[in-house]
Order: sequence, then structure tokens, then C-alpha cells
Amino acid sequence: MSEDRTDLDDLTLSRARRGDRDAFRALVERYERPVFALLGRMLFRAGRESLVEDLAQETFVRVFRGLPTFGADGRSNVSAWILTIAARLAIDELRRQQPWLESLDARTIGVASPAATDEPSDRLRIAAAIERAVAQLGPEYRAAFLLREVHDMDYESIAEALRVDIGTVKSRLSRARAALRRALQGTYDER
Amino acid sequence: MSDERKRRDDWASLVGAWPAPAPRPGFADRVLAACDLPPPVQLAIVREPPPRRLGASGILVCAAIAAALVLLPFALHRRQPPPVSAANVVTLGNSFDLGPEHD
Repeated sequence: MSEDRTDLDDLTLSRARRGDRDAFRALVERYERPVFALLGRMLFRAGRESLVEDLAQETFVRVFRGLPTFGADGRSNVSAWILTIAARLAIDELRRQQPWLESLDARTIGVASPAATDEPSDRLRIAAAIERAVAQLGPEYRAAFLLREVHDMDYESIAEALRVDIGTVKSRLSRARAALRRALQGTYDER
Repeated sequence: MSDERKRRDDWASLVGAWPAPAPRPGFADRVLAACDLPPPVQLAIVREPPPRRLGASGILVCAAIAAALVLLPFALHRRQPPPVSAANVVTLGNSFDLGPEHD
């Protein structure tokens, strides 16, 4: 997990559940970066920066409302819960903006052309290649890939976040990885 | 390290090259405002100004002046010496001998 740190401590979480302002602020400050990272990568071509902030804010408003009952359904991973809320909001936004993406099967994803970028830095070339490949993933594929590979969520949590079974999650992940491998292979071959 | 772990780390490092947006300063404050969380109660020692006594003292001054104006004539009157009249003058020691009385 590249961007996540340790979870919020139990005492702060408990205070936040009781509506303590400072504790909830600590919760927001702890999880705002992963939420922005997920939303930013989910929506990077779908909207402006303000859209990411709006959905991040909506994520935390829902977290605040759901905190008093958090754990009643057996959940214990705050990070996965918050990222699930953010992922669902992003998927809904993508569906609203681009309903055609829903029917797009991951097998139709093309290989990104690395030659399309003039960035001198390898890192930027890789980033550009990943962007192009992920941009062609449907919302659910994109969410599955980012939640698993970047935010280290387990299959079960991803299945719950995407409201699909675990087999579907694994299938989507496999296809998303294959598409990205092709994109990155092209990038490396050109070097 | 398991293959699964290694694969995920590889992907994470690759995707890490893809910059992600960061929250702007004050994001947490905007969230708290959106949640209608009340601002923190700030305890402060407020020194109250002393009670205004000007009104009461003014009334007392006016009452004192009024009382003085009323009493002043009496005080002045009492200090004046009583008027001297001939009837009130008694001369002692000098008696005139008018002689025997004659019928």
C-alpha cells in the first residue's frame, strides 16, 4: 500500500463516533489523502479538480453520518469503509457522465501508444501510459484495480464496495492488469 | 515475500508514478462545516467593566445640593446677631436718684 498509513486509533475513532469535533477532524486529516488519490485517479478525465473535492467532501459527510452505526454490521476496517464510500460515489459519477462505459468490456481495451507522449522523464511516460490505459477501463474495473493495487483492499471488501461477488472482482482485476501490462510493455519497448 | 505481495508492490510502485491530487488547505474545515459540527467552545476570561455608579452618584449630588440650598438660609439666619432695641437695653449700676416721692 503506497499511500495508506496506519488506521486511526480506537480512542479517536470512538470519540469521533460520539460527535467529537476534534476527533472527526483527525479522522478527516488521516484519510483525506487516500480518498483524494482514489477519486482523483477514478475521475481524472471525467471532471475538474473541484469535482474531486466535492466528492471527497461528500464522502466524509457520509462517513460522519454513518459513524454512529459503524461496526454494527461487523465492519472493523475504517479505511476500507471510507474508500468504499468514495469508490461508489466515483462510480456513480462516471456512470452519470459516461453511461456508455458500463457496457464496455475490458477485453476491448486497446494498447496505449507510448509514442503519443513527449515527456522526457520515464516516470512521466509510465504515468501517461497508465493514465491512458486506465482511462479506457470501465468504472468498476478502474475501481477494482485502484482499490486492490493502490489501496490494498482485500477481495471481499472490493466485492462489497462494488456490489459484486468475489469471482467478478478477480476477473475484473485480471483484465485490468492485462490491459495495463500491455500499455506498459509498449512503453518499455520503446525505450 | 509472496508472489501476490510482490506483484502488488510492483503495481503500487508503477501507479505511484501517476500523480494523485492532494486536498487543498482547509479541506477538513470545509468538511466539518458541511457536517454542521459546531465550532469549538472557546473559554476566555472576560473582564467585565465595573458597574456604572454615575447615575446613583449624580442623584446623591443633586440631593445634597438641593438640601444645601434649603438649609443654607436657615444657617445664615441663625448666625446673625439679634437686633438691638432700646427696650432691651438694661443698664446696670447707674440708677438715678429721683428724690422722695411726693404725693
